[in-house]
Amino acid sequence: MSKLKGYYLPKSLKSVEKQMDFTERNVSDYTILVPTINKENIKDIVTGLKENRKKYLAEMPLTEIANAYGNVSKAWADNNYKKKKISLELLPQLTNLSPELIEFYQFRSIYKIDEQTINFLSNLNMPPDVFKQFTPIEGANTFVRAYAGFRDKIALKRITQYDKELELVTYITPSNVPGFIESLGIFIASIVKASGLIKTPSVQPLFAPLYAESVAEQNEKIGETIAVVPWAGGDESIEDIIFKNSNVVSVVSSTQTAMSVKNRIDELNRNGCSIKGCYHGGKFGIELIAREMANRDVAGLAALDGIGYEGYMCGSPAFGFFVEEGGELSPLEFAEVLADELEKLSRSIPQTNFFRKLREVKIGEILSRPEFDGGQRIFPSSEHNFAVIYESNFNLNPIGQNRLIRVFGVKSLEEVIEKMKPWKEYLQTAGVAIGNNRVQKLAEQMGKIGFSNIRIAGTVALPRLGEAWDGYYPIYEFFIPDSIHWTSINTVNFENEIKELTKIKNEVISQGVFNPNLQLR
Amino acid sequence: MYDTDLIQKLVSSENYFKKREEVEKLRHKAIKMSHKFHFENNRFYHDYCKLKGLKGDIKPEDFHKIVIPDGVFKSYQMESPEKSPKEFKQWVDRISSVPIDFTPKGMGSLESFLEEFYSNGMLLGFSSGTTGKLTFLPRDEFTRSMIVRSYNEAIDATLKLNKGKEQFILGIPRKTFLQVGYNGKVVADSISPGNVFHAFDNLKADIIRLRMRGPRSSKEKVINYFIKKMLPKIEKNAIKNIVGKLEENKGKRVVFMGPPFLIIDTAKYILENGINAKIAEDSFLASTGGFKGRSIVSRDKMNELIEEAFGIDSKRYIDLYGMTESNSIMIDCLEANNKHIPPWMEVILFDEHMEPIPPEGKATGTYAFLEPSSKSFPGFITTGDKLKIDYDGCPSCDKTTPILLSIERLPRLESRGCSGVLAKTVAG
Repeated sequence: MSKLKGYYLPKSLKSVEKQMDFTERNVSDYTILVPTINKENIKDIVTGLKENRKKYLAEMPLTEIANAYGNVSKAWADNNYKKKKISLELLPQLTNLSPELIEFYQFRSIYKIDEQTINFLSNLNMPPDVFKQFTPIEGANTFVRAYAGFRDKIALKRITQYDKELELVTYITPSNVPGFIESLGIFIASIVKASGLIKTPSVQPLFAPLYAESVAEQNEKIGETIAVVPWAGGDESIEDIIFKNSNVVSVVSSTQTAMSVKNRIDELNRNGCSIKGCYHGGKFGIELIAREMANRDVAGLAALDGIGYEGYMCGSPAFGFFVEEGGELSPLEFAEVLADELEKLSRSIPQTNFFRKLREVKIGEILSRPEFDGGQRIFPSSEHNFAVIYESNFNLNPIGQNRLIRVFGVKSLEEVIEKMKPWKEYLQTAGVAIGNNRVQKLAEQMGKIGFSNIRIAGTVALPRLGEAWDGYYPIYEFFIPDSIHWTSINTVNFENEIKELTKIKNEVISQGVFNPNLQLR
Repeated sequence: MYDTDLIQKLVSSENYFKKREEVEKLRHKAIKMSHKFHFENNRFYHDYCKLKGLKGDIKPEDFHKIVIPDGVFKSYQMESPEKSPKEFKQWVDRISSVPIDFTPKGMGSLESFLEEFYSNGMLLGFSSGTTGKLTFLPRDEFTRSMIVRSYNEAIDATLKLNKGKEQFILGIPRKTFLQVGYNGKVVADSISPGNVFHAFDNLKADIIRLRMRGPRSSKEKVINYFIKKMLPKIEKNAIKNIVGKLEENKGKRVVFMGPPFLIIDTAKYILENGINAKIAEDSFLASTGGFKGRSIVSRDKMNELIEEAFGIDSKRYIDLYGMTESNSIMIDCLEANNKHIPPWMEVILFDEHMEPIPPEGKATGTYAFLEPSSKSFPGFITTGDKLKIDYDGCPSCDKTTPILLSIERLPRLESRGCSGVLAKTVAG
């Protein structure tokens, strides 16, 4: 059996590696070595990372960092890259996601971590208009809006240049979007010229170490400033050492975990530490289809949103797909066409039996409701890859995972947004298809309600450069208080974007997801 | 057409000892018949099977596809069924395979609402999750008779009881719609009518729901406060009642059945107070449901307490495994205390990828069962339990059925179980 490391440590910390205990996890023909980290190990790791950062990263030109990460993305975009091959063999077994799904949603998001992204993020400078209206952001195809009080506006002004030195950024990563957050954490730490410590999810300790190795392959010095290790969440003897040594701790996990870390960090800060916590707990999403966009192309893009991460991404439209009446397709017809598009897409991005069974459990519960004696319609997949349910009664219930797609007809999208108010703290992303002339007004209403990401249909599970995240703004969130609420729209021209995305979707259907010429947007 | 003769032939103690292939043939015939009946008479099940591309006639290779999630039986939308009687009845109608021809009035207590259904021929036996949302199983007269028959046949295959002569001491209520309590009572009454002692009187559904989900109004808060104060006393009194009855039957054969925490507390009370409550050596003790909400006592420690307090061999203490959704129990054999799967139940285990595991050797997976003896609802159900089963059967007794090696609650599902309800209901 080949051995793989379920951790990554810089070469300079070899001695720590020798002191660690390991457990073995057999997956397919591989054995993954997963370390059990103790207090002494973690002390040595954080000290080593901070020293290495001073030595290698603090003065490194951003062009060198950008170049390294650009090359990492190119390596992973190559279907013959060995680490990618291993990931695509083992991640499906660890996560139950199909290789095609991992490639399309996870890896293709990683390919976007390139020189342009890094240059954009390292020179962030929001125009003052973001406090007044959705404002186009230079260098990214996005609109951004910030809702804040006077003091927060001043605070934002003060940090237009990152004057505060960050030595260590820690990321606690989730299992629902395997790999994406880990890679994001590694590269964002590098951008702010901090060492990055990544806690892997127990479900899959595999991807982050492979990605970190790739970074080290491209630039040994950056590789010296990254560590990827698992530890038992909530173990204060370990976490206190990590937190006290970190300038930033970012948690992307369940609300419970995020709040538990927050409580601990608040306590440490009360006792003299200065740690910026960034908390990303559980969220739910929604899909909004305006009557002027209720057509087959948009149904195809909505299908991409329903499939993404099998509905387990924070932004996934778990609440359902809300379609305005009065369009080319009625909501019921839209549901039927959506089913047709899902069938085609599911051949290119298949679902595994695991999620199929989970859907069947939920469908069983839904089907047992008396409404199904009349009024409701189901559009099943002949190949058992999804189920579209048209529900005649409006309800908000975040159960749209596992390709259980619920479609509702509504008089107006504004009405749906208003009804989302009680869910304010759980709102994140809305997949939206709407005419250009209605975007700004609807987005303003959504931003005020608490949405953070307005994404064009077809991109819900494919984050883009320049977007907000959970009401915060990447990088900024390391420096400023959380009282500014950020909302972004991930395109400036909905109508044109739908045409471009439809071409990609059609290519996915005809050529599959491993097509090297498949366009990235 | 539902073939009751076929079911009665299947639910028989003799089948524990027959050749496996022979019983399997009979069981598969019954499952196919039962599936067809539910497909044609249960609106929910019909839609569910159609969605999976299944029709009225199925083959054994389809069996793993017909199991329905246990969540179906608590999928009603209202918080309090008795306050929305019409809507709740519509829900029952959709999941039931037999007609229920009456219009419930509701508006009173949950207990009286369930009484209304019962007096119109339908038992809505319930169990609850920790969230307090009750699971309701609609059981008509035939299905209820199958509970009695299944328990009796399983007991007959194992214990050899003297029908009509056994003295039962039950640590369960005299009257309750809590399914585990109901089952214990009707089975004991059927074995030895007139010789059944209950440690508790009534246990109303409203109280159980209040204890499980917590108070939802100021009125409920007040009631809950008083219940919390009263319950330890009720439990103590129940233990005293049991001990009194055991003393009365000192040296005689009795069957003492209850949740394990009650058996343990009774044993401790006897030993702490130096009471002689030793019953005849050929008595039986039976428990079901585990220790939900209470500190767990190991089987070794239980054996020790039982032998000391009741004076019987610990092998005569049998643990039962059942579910609200099932008409049957898995019962320990006396030879090796191995829990035997009744021959009239088809067990399917699913692996972590939700694929059915071949029924060979020892296997562990998510438990689903097919029980064709349920006429008023499809008895083909996936559960939140993870079981380890030895399909090779018991090395110590003559039964040919597979045995259950271990039970685990799956973490992603709420922990549930009737004993859990009792534990939480009577805990102070």
